[in-house]
Amino acid sequence: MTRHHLLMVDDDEVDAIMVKRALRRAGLDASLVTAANGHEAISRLRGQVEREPFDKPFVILLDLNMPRMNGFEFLGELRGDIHLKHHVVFVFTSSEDERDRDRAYRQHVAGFITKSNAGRGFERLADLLRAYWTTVELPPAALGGA
Amino acid sequence: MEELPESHDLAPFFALSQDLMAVANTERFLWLSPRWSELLGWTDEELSSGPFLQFVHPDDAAATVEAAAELNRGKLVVQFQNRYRCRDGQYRWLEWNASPRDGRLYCVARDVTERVRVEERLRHRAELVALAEDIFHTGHWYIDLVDDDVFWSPEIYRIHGRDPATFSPSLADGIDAYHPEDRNRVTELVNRAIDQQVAFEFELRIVRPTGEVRRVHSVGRPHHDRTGAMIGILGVFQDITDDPRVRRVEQLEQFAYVAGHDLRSPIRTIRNIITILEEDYELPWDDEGQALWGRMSGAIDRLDRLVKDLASYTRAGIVPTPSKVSTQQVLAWVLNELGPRFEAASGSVDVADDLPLVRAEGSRLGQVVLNLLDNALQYSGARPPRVSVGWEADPGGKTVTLSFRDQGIGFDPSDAERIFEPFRRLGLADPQRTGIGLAIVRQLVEGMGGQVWATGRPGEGATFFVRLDRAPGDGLPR
Repeated sequence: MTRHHLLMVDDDEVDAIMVKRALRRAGLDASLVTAANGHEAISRLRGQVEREPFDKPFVILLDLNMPRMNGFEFLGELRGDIHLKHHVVFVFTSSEDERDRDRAYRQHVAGFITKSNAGRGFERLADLLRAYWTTVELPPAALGGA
Repeated sequence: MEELPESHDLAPFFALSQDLMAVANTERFLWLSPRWSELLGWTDEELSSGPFLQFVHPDDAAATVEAAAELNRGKLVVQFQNRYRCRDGQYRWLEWNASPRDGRLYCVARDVTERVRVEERLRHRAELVALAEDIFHTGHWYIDLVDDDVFWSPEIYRIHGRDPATFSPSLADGIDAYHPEDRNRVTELVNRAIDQQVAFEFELRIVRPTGEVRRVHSVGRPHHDRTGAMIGILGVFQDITDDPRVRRVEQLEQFAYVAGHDLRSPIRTIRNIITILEEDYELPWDDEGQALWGRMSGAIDRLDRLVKDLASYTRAGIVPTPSKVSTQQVLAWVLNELGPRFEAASGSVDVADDLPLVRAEGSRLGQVVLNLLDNALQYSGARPPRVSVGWEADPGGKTVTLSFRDQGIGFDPSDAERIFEPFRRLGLADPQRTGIGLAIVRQLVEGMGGQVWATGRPGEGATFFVRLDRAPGDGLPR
């Protein structure tokens, strides 16, 4: 079974720990890479940062309110980059504002998940990712480009 | 008076003509057609004995002298207007065409007094409309569906930050000026107004070329010709950007957003840390410490709900954009969500199958119904929760009243108002709840221009009533 790759773009470290736990508890074989804001995430996706090597993630969990580059700005940047636009983005945010939700869907996200709706230990998020990874065919890594 | 050469055979024409004909030199009349004395009341002798300037309104004298001088220089005068004094002291507006020949001026004048008055009245009205538009920051636009033409009143230009002298709007320009987040919704509403020939009302933001955003309240309706065919759409925009009430609403929106996100975020972080500590670590304390820990955990949960409810309570007070909503459909959505909880408690919700169309906002009405049914679940007492949803048309034909009758614990009639106050819980409610559900219902219903009230008795259930405006074209008798 292939290892799954997840990029979490969120400035909340505790939430990142929670996602990591949820993946572990659900027994999902997934690597989790975190970025504290959109800017960092874009740099990592483009391989501009000298960090531990990681496979290109195909599923991105995106928070909306972040310093430097927020979620919407990140989406704009991602969709405008031919090498990055194919990544699957789920918004994963504490915002329950319907305007945020509408705006995110207008930028073609795969789903809008509020953190308060993801289960106390984010187990519902883990269920979703498991179902997603076992059901959905993702593009080959080569599509990611250089 | 001189005789006109070769004029004898034409005399009947001069007598019949509505126009006034004259031959003059630059100072006085030499010959006049009969219509002159009929219109002005002077005899031909009176008119021609002295300079014609004595009959001209003093304000028009200079222009009249100038026109005569033009003719004298051999030029034509076309559509020259001045006022002539009648015998009774009133003035008539005359419009002149004249040409010089052989040292004489051949003139045809027409009485345009009525036309000038109508024009003046129209100009005056237009000024009043412009003044009224200015006072209320309200402009109007018109889409001519026959000629595919767009009209903007001066205030509409101002709202758009455009200069009427240099900019002529097209339909696409109007749509382009909508804020990107409003564009689809507004275009859809206007298109629906055209397709279904119904009125519309919404709020939108207009972005000026400078990037400045104006907040606009808009109402409009189709315009029909006498045969009933739709020939255009008239819309009214009110610029409410500087309205203090709107500013207040914006502050509330901001507060709701901050409360809903920024405030909840650290609360959730604490919640998460509690979860991690509980599940991944050995907690060091004894029973008493454990109890305190549990209370802290409960308090955090309650704080989170409180902030969440407070945010939706605040949002609920913000002015909605009403449209035609099927209450039947709203009930179906809500039951999809709440149905399992009623089933789990062996309860039921009986919904009349002919619920009406109302003028509301779908998501807000959904929240209203959700909160009312949730309230019935909460206060069902020992019996299974049973709610019946019905409605009736109100006398007067403008509104309908939905009713939600339960068989729960009811309330003391003297509390009928207090149950709608925020953060008030009556009786033995679940202490986990914030007691804001009915307050949100009231905010939402009143925000949509409706009313909500309740009747009940302890132990005999409660009935909640929601009165809303009927939707235009709901097919019910008026």
